[in-house]
Amino acid sequence: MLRRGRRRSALLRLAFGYAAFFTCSVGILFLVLHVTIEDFMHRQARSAVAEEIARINDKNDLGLREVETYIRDRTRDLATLPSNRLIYLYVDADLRCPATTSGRLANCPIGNLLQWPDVARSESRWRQFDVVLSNGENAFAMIKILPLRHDYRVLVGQNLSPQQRMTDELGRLLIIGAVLTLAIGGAGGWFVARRIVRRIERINLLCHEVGPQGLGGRLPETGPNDEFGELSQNINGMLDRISELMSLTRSTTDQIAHDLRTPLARLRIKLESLIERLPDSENVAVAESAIDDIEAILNTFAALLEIAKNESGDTSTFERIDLRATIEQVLELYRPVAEESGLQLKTEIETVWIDGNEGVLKQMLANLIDNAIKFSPPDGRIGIALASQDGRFELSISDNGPGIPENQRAKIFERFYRSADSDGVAGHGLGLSLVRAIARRHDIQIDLLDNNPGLKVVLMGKAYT
Amino acid sequence: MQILVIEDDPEMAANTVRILTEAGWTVEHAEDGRTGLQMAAARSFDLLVVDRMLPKLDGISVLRRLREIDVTTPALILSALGEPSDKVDGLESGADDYLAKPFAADELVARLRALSRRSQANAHPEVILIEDLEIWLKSKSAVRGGKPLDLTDSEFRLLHYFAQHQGDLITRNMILEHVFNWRPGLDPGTTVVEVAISRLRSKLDKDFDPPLLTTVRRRGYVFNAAARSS
Repeated sequence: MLRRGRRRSALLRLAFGYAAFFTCSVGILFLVLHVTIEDFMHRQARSAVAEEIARINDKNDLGLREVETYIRDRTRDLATLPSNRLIYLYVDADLRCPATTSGRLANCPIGNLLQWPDVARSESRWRQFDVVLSNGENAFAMIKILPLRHDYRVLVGQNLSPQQRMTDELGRLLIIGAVLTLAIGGAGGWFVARRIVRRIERINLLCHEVGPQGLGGRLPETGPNDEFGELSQNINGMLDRISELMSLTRSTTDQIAHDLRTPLARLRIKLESLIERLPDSENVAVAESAIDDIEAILNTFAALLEIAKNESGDTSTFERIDLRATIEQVLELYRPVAEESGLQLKTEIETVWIDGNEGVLKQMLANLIDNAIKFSPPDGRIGIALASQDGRFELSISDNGPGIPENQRAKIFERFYRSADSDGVAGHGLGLSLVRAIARRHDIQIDLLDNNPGLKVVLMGKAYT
Repeated sequence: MQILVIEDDPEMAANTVRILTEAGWTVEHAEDGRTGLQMAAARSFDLLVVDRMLPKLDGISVLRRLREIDVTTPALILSALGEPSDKVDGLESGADDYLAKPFAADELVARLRALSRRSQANAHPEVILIEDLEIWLKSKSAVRGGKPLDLTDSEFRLLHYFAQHQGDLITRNMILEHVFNWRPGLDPGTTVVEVAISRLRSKLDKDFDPPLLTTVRRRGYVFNAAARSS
C-alpha cells in the first residue's frame, strides 16, 4: 500500500538551502572585507597621529613656544589642503586657548578645532569622536591627547570622515549586494532544483502507476547519459523484468490449471459412470463420497488459482462500479442466510464509486460476510457500513463473535491458516487469502480491529465522485 | 436436437460427445476452429459447444465470425482458464453461456437444455401459467391458488428462471450465475443457494399443492417436474 500523508517539497528546501548557503558565504566574505578595510583605515589614522604626537613631543622638549609655533604652522598649512586631515588643538591646563606671551587672544584657537571636545584631560587612550572643526564642519576623528609642560595639552587627531563615508558607502553596497545575491541565488537555486526535482517526480509518478494501473509505462531514455539517465534505464529494466515475471506466472498458473484439473475431471467422470453401473447403494455411497472429495480438491484448487491470478495484479478488466450496488447484490444472497441463523444484519451503505472488477469484489465481500455469519454467536449482530470522504471510502464489516486475537491478525491472511476457533466450521482456510489478494489488486487496505467483542474488518481505498 | 462440439483434445471431445449422446441428442464434432466455423455456417445446428483454446482459430473468434454472418445458434463456451476477462470476452463475442473445465456432466447437459429453451421461447409473454401458479412479469409478482405470494426481488427472479426452464435440471451453479449474476469459477459458499431455494419453497409450495420445486439429490433442482421434456 502507498503511504499517504503530507509530503514537503524537496524543491523548496533545496532552493532555499542553496540560496541561504550562498548568501551566508558571500555575506561572511563581505563582512570580513568591511571589517578589514575599516581596521586598516583606523590603523593608518593612528599611525599618522602617532607620528605627529612624536614630533610635537620633541618640540615640547624645546619648550611650549616651539609647540605653539609648530601647531600654528601646521594648521596654517593644512588649512589650505582640501582634505584637512590632521586635527590639532593646543590648550592650557584649563583646557582653554592659552594666552600667549604677547596676549593675542584673537588668534584662537591654536589648532583647527573650535573647542576642546568632551573628553577628560587625562585620557590617555585612543578615542574616536565627533568634533567640530574651526571652519564649522563636523568631523569624526581618531584622537590622542599628549600632555605638555606646565600641564598644557595638545590634542592630535585624524579626520576619519572621508574614510567613514567610504566605508559607509561600501557597507551600503554590500547590503545591496547581499540582497541581490539572495535573490539571484534563490532564483538560480530554484531553477536548478526544479529541473532535478521534476525528473525525480516523473520517475515517482511512473513507479506509482506500476501498482494499480499496470506495467505499460516506461521512462524516456533520451537525454544526457548521466546518473538520471542510468536511473531511468535501471527502472525500465526492472519494469521489463517484472512484466516478464508476471506473464510467466500467469502462463505457469494456466498451465498448472490445465494439467491438474483435467485428470481430476476425468477421475470424476469415471466415478460418475461407475455410480451408474453400481446396483447397490452402499458402493454408490462410497463412490459419491469419493466424488465429494474430488470436488473439495477442485474447489481448493480453484481458490488457489484465483488467489494467484489476483496476486498478479492485473487491472485491465477494471471498470467504474458502484460499490453500494455490489454490496447489495452480495447481500441478496446472504441476508436470508443470516436470517436463517437468527442473526441481525444492520446496514448503513452510501453510494460510492470505485474502480475494480465487480466479479471478484463480490467474491471478496462474500468471503467476509460469510465469515461474519459463520463466526457469529446465536442472536449475533452483523453490521455493514460504507461511507466516503475526501476521495477515500471506508467499508466495515463487523460481528460480535470470538474475534481474532491480536497476535494472529497478520497470520490469518495466509493460505490454509485456520484460527483455533474455527474447529468444526467448514472451510479450507483460503477465504481470507483470497480476500487479501483481491484487496491488494484493487489497492484497498484491510485492517482487522477489535469490535469489543468480535471482529471488525475495515476496508479502505480510493473513491471517485 | 443437433449439437456441434468444437474441441481439439481427443479425450475431452470423446467424453463430451458421449455425455451429450447419452442425453439423447445428435452430436457432431469438429477438431479445430476453422472446421468448426465452416460446419456451423454451412448447416443449422441447434446448439454449439465451443472450446476456447482451439488450433487454427480460437473459440471466441469462431463465435464472433458466426455472429457477423448472422448465425444465431446458441453457443456455450468451454474453457480451462477462469479469468474474469475471459468471461467478458466470451459473452461479448456472442456466446450465451460459459462453463469452466472440468465440468460435471450434469452441469453441461442442464445448461445446454436451458440454452435450447431460451432459443425456443417466444417473445416475452405477460404472464406464465403453471398449474395454479401465475407469474406476472410486468409487475414482477406471483399468485398461487388466488393468493399473492410475497416474494423478494431475488426470489421472483429465481422463480421466473425456474419457470423458463420447467422440467429441466437446474444446477446450483446455473442459479448462481444466471439468477444472482455470480462470476463462474467463484464460490460464495455452499449454503446460499440452499437457503434461497428453501425460502422460495416455503413461500411457493408450503400451503399449496402440488409441490412445484423438487430437489434432485447431489444434482440440482427441477421445477414442475411434470413438464419434463425428452
